[in-house]
Amino acid sequence: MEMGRFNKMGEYLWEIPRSGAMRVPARIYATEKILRETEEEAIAQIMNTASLPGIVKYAVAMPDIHSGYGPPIGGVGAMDIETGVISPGFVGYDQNCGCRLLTSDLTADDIEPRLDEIASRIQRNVPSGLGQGRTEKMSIARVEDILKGGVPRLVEEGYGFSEDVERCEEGGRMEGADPKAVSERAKLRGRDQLGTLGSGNHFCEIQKVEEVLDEEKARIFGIFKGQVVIMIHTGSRGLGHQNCTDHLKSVMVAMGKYGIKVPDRELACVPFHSSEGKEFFAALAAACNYAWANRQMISHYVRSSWGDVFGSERKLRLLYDVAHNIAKIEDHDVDGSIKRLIVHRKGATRAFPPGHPEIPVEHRGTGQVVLIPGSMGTASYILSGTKTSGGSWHTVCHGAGRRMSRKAALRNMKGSEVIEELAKKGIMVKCRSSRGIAEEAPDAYKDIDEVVGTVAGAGLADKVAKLRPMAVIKGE
Amino acid sequence: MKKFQVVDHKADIRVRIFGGDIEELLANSILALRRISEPETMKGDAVADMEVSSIDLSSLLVDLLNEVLFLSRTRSESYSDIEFFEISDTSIKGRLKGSKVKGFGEDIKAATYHGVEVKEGKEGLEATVIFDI
Repeated sequence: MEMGRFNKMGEYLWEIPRSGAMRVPARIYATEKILRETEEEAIAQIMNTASLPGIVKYAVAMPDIHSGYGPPIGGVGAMDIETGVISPGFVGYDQNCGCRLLTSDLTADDIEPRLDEIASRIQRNVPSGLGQGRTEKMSIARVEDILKGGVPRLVEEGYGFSEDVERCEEGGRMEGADPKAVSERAKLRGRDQLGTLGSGNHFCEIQKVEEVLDEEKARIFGIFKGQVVIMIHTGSRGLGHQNCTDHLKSVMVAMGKYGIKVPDRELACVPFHSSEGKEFFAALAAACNYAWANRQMISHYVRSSWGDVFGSERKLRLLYDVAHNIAKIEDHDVDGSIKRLIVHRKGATRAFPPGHPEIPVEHRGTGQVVLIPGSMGTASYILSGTKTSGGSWHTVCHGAGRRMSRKAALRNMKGSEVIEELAKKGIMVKCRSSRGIAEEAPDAYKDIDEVVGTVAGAGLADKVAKLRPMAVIKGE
Repeated sequence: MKKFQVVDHKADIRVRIFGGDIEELLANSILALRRISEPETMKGDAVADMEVSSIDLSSLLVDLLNEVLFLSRTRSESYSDIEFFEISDTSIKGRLKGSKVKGFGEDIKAATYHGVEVKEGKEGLEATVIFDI
């Protein structure tokens, strides 16, 4: 990595000044070590992102930055809603991929003797969705009901508790969602995937609270040392993938009539207020609702499994559910005045500050709960939003970020060896493909402690608790 | 002549696809998608008629792959061949042929347009496609 082109703005912040087609500078939150290890392709991608029409202040990358397609993973871009664009590729194909955390009232010692039983039961009850799917497919009308209704719809039907709605970003249902903006093709792909995990880095993990790093906030979040929690990481599945594919194609065709040129077709975009822009946003909101509903349905299966093993009185409470691939309309302070922006986050997590009206009432004093999943077998974190994160549009990282390509990871270690290594650390793995395990090996990712340390050091979030996996479940 | 080659990408799957002419390149791209999807095949032939139109040849390659992905995932089928009824630089009408499947080992989200360019290589045409997984 050629370091000469970066201006050091702070211990954890670097800037690439405007050049060429860039409309604004590009900023990267990173330690020097992380920046030196970042591949050129990812740097080129954040510079490309800075060329999008209407982008405000700077294009931002998080410390888990690595190359994607279009923007880098870990990329953030806020566009002026009046003059700026919306870009399907800047959200990506897994619309509203995100994380949620369920908290139990049991400790790791309580469940240890029955860990295999609960992990196996969850694996059986939470499908990957890669097979032929469920025997009964939802009707298209039912898919539309989910696209419109999100988590509140499922809760009305008994798949969860009213508290779950309050504990989801957007209350688990984004306003403006229009099922008609989602193609029949996308709906077809969504008929048998509600309540499915998918593959790749998606998972369900039984974790324990290894360390409480902020006693007061942990108490408010209902977190205590030794506690068992369950993390769910997945998104909108085939419906969201198809939704992105469909709208990216129509936006690419429409872009010319607005005189927009982009350096990479995956960054194709249209003005937010154009008919194509509005249509995409309504479709995105609908797919986001499907994703929140997907995580809600998985939670229902996990809760049933938990009840079967530990008794139904042992409720799993939702701490929070937050997206990391999304575009949202938000109000932010831009040079002293509040502006309405369309904030794109691709592999980046919203982290609203204390007092923000869009976070649950009980978290207004602490800041938004932020969930950062680690790579398989390493720590995950609970963070809280801060008032000093305006420079990143109140956004932090979304994980550790890949350090090694999938091929390199496969060359490095066999899946069976990874499982053995994890077993030595007391981590159980329930997965149908050992190749998938090798690709997601802990060594293939950056050091989560350094990545989270960077966002905390930069003042973008505060650490509340560190979680350690007990069992990783990848779905049948 | 190699049909395709999986090359390194940090998070996703990057595939270089080769072909003596455009028809062969497109047919080989379908084979590449089949390989990386890791289908669990079962008895029974699969046939699907399809049409795709795009703004140019490079987009046509990506749009074809996304059409094949859609048909494959909604019909539980995996395709290994294509018969072209009509083909131009911006459209295809054809018939996909393959087999029924129980499921897939890899969840391919989409073929992306990132850096795709169909160009002349040493032995004919080639293109590099990143698949989001």
